[in-house]
Amino acid sequence: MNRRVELTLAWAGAIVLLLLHLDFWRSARPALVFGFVPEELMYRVVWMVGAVVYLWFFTARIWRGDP
Amino acid sequence: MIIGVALALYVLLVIGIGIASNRKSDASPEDYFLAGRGLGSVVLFMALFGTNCTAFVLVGIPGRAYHDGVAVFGVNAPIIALGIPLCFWLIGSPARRMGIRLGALTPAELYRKRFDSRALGLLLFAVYALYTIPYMVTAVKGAAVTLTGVTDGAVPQWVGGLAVMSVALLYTTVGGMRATAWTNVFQGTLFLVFMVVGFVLIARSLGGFEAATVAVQNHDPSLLQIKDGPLYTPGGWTSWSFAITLTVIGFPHMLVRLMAGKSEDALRTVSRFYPIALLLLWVPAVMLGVWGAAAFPGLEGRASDRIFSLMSANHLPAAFGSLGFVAVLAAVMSTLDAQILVLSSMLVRDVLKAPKDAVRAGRWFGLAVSVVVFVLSVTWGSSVFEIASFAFSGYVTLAPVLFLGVRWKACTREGAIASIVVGNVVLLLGVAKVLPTFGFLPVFWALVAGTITAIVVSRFTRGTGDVALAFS
Repeated sequence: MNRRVELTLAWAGAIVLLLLHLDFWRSARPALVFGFVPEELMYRVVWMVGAVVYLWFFTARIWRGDP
Repeated sequence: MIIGVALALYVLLVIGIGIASNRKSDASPEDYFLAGRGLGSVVLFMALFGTNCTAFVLVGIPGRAYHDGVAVFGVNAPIIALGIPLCFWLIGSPARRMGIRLGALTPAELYRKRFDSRALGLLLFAVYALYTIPYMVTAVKGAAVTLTGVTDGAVPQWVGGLAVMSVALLYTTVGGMRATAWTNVFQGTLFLVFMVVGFVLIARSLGGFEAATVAVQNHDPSLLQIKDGPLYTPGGWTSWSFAITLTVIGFPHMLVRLMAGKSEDALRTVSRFYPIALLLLWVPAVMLGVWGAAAFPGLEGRASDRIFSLMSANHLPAAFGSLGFVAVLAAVMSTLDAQILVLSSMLVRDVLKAPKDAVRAGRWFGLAVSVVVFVLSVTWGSSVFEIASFAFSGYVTLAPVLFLGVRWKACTREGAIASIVVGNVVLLLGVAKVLPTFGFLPVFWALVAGTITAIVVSRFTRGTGDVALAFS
């Protein structure tokens, strides 16, 4: 993967995550997933898992280590 | 009795670590204030995590979730899980490298030398102190409230606050940064393990995860969704997302730890694991408050700060429940120690002009700060969340200068000073409702105004300082 593609992916990933965080299009419901996890909490936890994956990519490909 | 034993063991251990760290120190200012810039991945991670997580998370967040429900999780945890590591890259990483090149030991010293401006160093110290002292007050209040709760009021809040402040001051003054970093490893592990295990045990005591959450659904279903309120409107949510993300890198006690990192690889490793640790801590913190709303209904206002201790005392085995207070204590002290140290180091390096014994001067100042914090903790009536929100907004006003100072060569001394002044004025006028905020929080406009001011003023003024060396 060349540098340009990596940078594009990094920007795109950050923007997608930010837009999914500012999720004013979602309707609020007190529903439970699997019978015990509030839907609102589940959405945020899944988002955080996405952020973890993104940061592993970012620290491996964008953030350069020691020479 | 059990609490007393657990407390005694904890105090002995952290003081022991402080003394052991002192023996490894070479007594130089760099070693005392920055642990010789030698913090590796594991210690750096725990030092940052322990410092970042305080009574705000263990006491303030459950207390707020008691009233606002799971929305408290959504507006805080996800965005900081992404934003804090990115800020480590954007600001922490270049600040660490620049600190080495300029020989700076504190955040204020770093920017003072970068811009060759004593006035900027003094201004940074003043603003850092202005917002760090209230933040320290939240830590002491959080620990004191919890101790009073777990002892059913037998220990008054002022006694708890005094004890917490004294122990943190003792091991910090003895061992400096090395002591605070290593005690943070122990403290961070303790409160993270307690939260995860305690979360499971409390759920079992409430009849299981399903029963605990269904009880909330029956009690007040709005706690399981985004609620109405200024923080949860599009403007409030967007503003707070920026604020809570940028405030962490604005903490001087966080930035100075990044400057103490051993290598770039250590910072990268920390950034990979940081969101995982936040997830493990925040889910229990919020859900304990939400479940507590059904288990202990009727707590009004800041009385909900007691919900963490109520849940620990009533739904955990006695021996493990006593660790609840020790966990809060660990979270509180792991931040307090770093705050005492960084304020002391900035006074010595950036306010006093080369005192004969820098380390001793720092220790005396640490004592003075501790006295002020203790007095405020027993006289300031607001909740932990409210005081922390005030401090967090203030730190954000520094973000433009912290970022542009290490990433933009053309940023000037005048631009930096003007940015901090304008940002704080806009924040205060917004909080006082003198300026309209158009649905956003005042901190959002302070950030916008500070950024524009730094860029515009820098364009019309000439740079100072050795830019070539700073960015080499």
